Amino acid sequence: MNTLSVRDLRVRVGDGRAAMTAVDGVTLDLPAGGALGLVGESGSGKSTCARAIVGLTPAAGGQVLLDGRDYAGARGRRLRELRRRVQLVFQDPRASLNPRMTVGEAIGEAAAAGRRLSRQARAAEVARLLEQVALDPAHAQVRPGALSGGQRQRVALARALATRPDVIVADEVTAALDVSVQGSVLNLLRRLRAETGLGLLVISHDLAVVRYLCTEIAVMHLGRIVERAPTPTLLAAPQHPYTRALIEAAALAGLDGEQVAEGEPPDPLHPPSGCRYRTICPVGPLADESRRICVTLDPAVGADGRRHRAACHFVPPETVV
Amino acid sequence: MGRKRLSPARVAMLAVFGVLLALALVGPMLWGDRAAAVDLERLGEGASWAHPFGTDDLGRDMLARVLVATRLSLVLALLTAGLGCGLGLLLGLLPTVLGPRLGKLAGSAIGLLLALPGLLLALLVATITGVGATGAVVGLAVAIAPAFARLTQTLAAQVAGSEYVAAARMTGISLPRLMLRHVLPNIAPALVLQVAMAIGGALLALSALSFLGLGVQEPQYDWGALLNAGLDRIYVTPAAALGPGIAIIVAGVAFNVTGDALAGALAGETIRPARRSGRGRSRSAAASSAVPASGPSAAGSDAVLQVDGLSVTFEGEGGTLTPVRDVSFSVAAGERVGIVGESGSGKSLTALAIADLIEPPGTVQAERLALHGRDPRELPERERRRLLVTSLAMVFQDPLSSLNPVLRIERQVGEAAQAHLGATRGQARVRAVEQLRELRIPGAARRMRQHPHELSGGMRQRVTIAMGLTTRPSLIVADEPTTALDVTVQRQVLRVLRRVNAEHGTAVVLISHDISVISAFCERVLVMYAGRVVEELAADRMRVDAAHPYTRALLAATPTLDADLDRPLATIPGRQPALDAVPGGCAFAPRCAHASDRCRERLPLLETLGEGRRVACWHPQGAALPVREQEMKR
Repeated sequence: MNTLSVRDLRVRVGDGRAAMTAVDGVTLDLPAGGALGLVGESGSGKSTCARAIVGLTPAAGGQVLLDGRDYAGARGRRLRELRRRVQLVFQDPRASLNPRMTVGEAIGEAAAAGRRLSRQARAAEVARLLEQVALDPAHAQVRPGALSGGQRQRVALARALATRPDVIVADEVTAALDVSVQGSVLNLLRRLRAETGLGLLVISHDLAVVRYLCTEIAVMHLGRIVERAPTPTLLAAPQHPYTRALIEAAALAGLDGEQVAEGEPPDPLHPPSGCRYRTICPVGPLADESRRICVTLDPAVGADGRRHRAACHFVPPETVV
Repeated sequence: MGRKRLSPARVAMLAVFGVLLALALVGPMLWGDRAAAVDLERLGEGASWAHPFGTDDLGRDMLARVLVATRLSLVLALLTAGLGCGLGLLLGLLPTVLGPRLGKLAGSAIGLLLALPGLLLALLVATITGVGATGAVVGLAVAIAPAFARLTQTLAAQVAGSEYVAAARMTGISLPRLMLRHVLPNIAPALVLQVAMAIGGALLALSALSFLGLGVQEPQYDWGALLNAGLDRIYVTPAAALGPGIAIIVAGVAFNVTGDALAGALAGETIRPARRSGRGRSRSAAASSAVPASGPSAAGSDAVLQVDGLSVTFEGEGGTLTPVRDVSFSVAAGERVGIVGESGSGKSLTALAIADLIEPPGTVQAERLALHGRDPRELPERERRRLLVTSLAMVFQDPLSSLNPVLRIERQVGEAAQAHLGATRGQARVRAVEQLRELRIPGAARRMRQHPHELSGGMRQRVTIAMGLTTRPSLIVADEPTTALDVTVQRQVLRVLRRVNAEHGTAVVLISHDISVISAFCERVLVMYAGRVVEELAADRMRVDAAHPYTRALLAATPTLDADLDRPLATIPGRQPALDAVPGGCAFAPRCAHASDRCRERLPLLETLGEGRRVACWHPQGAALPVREQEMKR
């Protein structure tokens, strides 16, 4: 049974001449207690997708299903219900915590939202949550400014946990942290999932981070999912050329190799026809001019039949086991 | 806190403000009778002992009248500002509260109101409501409101767009609570200042209206009305006009200064996010980076860069800070050296010190800081610049700050060749295109005609590298050159640097927080912690050789594509010490599992462990230690 399903989600951002479809037909499934990674680079739409799932950015189309009920475009009470069950944790805890509220106030406010809690019950809940994220309950009295980056991010996590969500959407939660503390946040997320059955949707540009947290990975490029597979399979046998490029770049391998011809990166405002990766793809027309199909036909067509549901015309069909 | 920074002038103005308030409270009680006492024998008198500001045309004491008028003047000003700012606040919050579509409408409405001239609006309203205090107050309030609304709108939009408001919305709290708890407190400081200034402004404007006869009417009087009466006789008895005039000016200034102090105190409460040290840098430093280098070949000395005992200090109010302490290393021709450390380790300041880009109040001390064997600090200004410019190119994290936004790429890349190699403009352009081609920048000729904003981040970074290279420097110092870039773009930039290194033998000092990037790119690595180099080792033997507990922890804390998934990532407890609280012994000791009393008391010096290996630790770890060192440990 899926906790969270996203069906053909579309999000338009910007207006006038800068308007674009940042998320273009994204479909994701997060089983209860599962961990799915959404990987892509800046401009891929992964963060917009996260914000649309929790209703912070309006969706232009598609569905956000929780246990089969559609919450896309929900407002008022239903939106609050969605957000209580699916919590977003932001990249930079310096920005996502109100500098004027103490840690206890921030967490307490979230814990008390939508239900009545006595003062004592609220304090007890704050202490419980702080302990859950491995922070000293005494930290409830301090303001975020007095904490280190890793501690702040754990406070942000505690606030997210305060609404007792089924799913946490973690948007680049370690990108703003120093290496020495990011481990504490990653370990914590893993522990929470193992101990409480919390579902995780991890948004990140960092394959190593996603690999550490998730059992399945979806790769996003210019608003679309181009490949998805269980983590070990995806990393060992990437099918889409973009996934391969990402893995090579993350492994920092072959810095000495001869550079291949490099195309013009696609303009997100005016995405190229057919395949959106074709202008820089080492497999497509840039390498072999006869491959006109990349220009004329959107590789999303027929993707379901290919390995890893890859959106590439040159990925072989999935062999039925 | 703002309170501590109160200047004497501010204290004086606050005192004046207090006196004004006291006058407003008790003035009419104390001097009310005297101010109303008609004395037909002393009509329109000048200043005298009994009447310092003279008397008016009914013989009433002007001083008493000015004092008594304080209450009405202030009350009206407060009413006006309160009404105006209240209206403005409500109006200004509408765009945030109403949501995108209706909000846009409200925003346009504010813009429209703002376009109407305020005083005209005030006069119109005052005429409609009738001449008198009420009309003046309402009219002025309406005139104040649009500007205040716009300010509120802008501030609220900023705060509403912030992540902590998004995060609060995520928790499902109600809209009023969101406004009261998250938005208003964070825009209050700026608004308070504006309210105080509005009160001052209202005071002046009301006085002006009364002066014109449109405001307070007889038998009531405020300062403006008194000024009006006094001004008729300014040539006969100047004191009569002077009294209310002074009162208006003093009160106006007092409100502004008080508002300023109040806003300062409120803002002081905010916990401002600390700037990531070493990442942000001054404009001039960035500008200097655009002055690239050309170089005499590494003749004479094989060390391109020699640094001995480098320290950087900053004199501040709180004492002297030393973010870089006793750093020594050298870079041979064609070598790739990495400096890795977390934010605050001093790695970026080390780079800036090498390029002589540390600006006052910062100072650089070093036993030796030599490029090609010559210390720029010992050379006369012209030669110093020439040496720096001809042997060293800097590449920074943000390529936009190194590029001039209004100049085409061809001018910027060619500039250095023109300035330092005496090339003509045409030659410089040819050289620039060649340089871009060499860096495999696609569409080099077309790029030349573009402006920086037309390029992608990775392309910009490659252009800044090209700029630095047009004159063939022997050393590139790249400070977090790929931190702002995507991984695939990072790879391209690193390849470009690697290529330059391989083809021209240009030495590269790469500075990064990312130990994976450093170990993949460099031959030799320096690890910095709290301003000091704590370890130096070969990049390809890092995982084997790392002996300092900090280096080992950094390696174990970094998730990689081949890390063991069954084990939790290493974390380093605590945080790097603040610059003003670096402990006396080993700076890492408070976070180190192996620390002993000796570590806390005595500073470990950087000792050679073997070929190209140095470590500053009393208890070096790892199996690869030379036997002798292992014995010494015991």
